[in-house]
Amino acid sequence: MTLNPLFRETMRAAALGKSDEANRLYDQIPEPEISHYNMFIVAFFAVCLEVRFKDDQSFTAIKQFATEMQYDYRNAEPPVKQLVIEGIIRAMMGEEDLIQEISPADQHRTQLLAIRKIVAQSPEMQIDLAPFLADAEGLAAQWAQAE
Amino acid sequence: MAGALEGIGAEDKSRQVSEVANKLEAAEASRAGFEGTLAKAHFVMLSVMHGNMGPAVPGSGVIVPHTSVDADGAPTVGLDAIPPQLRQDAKPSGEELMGIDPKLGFLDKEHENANTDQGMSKFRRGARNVARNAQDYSDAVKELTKPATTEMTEAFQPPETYPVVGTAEPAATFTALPQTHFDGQNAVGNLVVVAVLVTEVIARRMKDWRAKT
Repeated sequence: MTLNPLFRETMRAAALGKSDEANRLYDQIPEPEISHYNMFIVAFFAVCLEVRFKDDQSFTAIKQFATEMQYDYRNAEPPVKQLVIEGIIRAMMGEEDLIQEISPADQHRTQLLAIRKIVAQSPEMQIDLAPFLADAEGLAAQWAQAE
Repeated sequence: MAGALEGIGAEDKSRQVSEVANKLEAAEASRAGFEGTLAKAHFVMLSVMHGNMGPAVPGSGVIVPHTSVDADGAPTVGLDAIPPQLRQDAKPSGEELMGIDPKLGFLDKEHENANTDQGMSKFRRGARNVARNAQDYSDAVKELTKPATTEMTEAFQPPETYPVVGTAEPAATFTALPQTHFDGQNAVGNLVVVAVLVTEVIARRMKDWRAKT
């Protein structure tokens, strides 16, 4: 199963901070494929977390990331909550129960905002985002196929 | 007595005697108090011994182990018989059986002696469940994707000096897309396959031709 190439391009624009282009491309994604796009977001989020926490997956590292992210989005409304960030990352590391305590809206938004931050701070992703997007696409395609 | 001494003009003696009398009274009061306490303690002791009060009284709500003693005087049944660590077999957890240090926290466990690949797959394993969840809430967040995408650009205000994470090296591992059917659009890939076949055929013909001549 292959995913719509629009997913990659939409995410590329979003991750690099070109929101107008990202939203324009997002509008072109057919309605029935939106749920797959949301899975693709999670897959890319996982790839981003791998990059970010490659060398240090300690609780301290997660907490520091959350603190930083709260500062980066300090003017966001509603505010970005540190515990939500920590909760999502820990859920992605296997504490699945935590995800039930975070609202869908918070999950969705926090993942997208975190993606932007991680990509902005990663030199390897800045140089070439394509392999990471392809990686996420492969992962999401596996999930979609397993359904 | 103090009054009589005062009457004969011995005021100093009178004062001293009354002081002694006061101290005697205080001592008597203390003695009475101690005696009362002692009587109370005695009563408590007897009550406990006869089962009128304390945890042994029926209906006191306290569970008291029934203890019986064998010939050597060691308890045979009840909670006192054998201490819990000896009463039950050791029940090692799966992690202990696998030799993982139980002192490690949940975040350290896989990190400890784990290479990077295993750490990566951990994110992906966890992500599977989050993704399943994400698919379920798709309808609920449909209207949120675009505003959140706008926020990614407009609300992201990192400090000027910002630490970068990782080095500028190409990513090492990629997930291969399962390719189960012929991809008609993959022109280059198909051409390579065709070219290999053509070369193979030509090589064979050349060989045959050489064998003939």
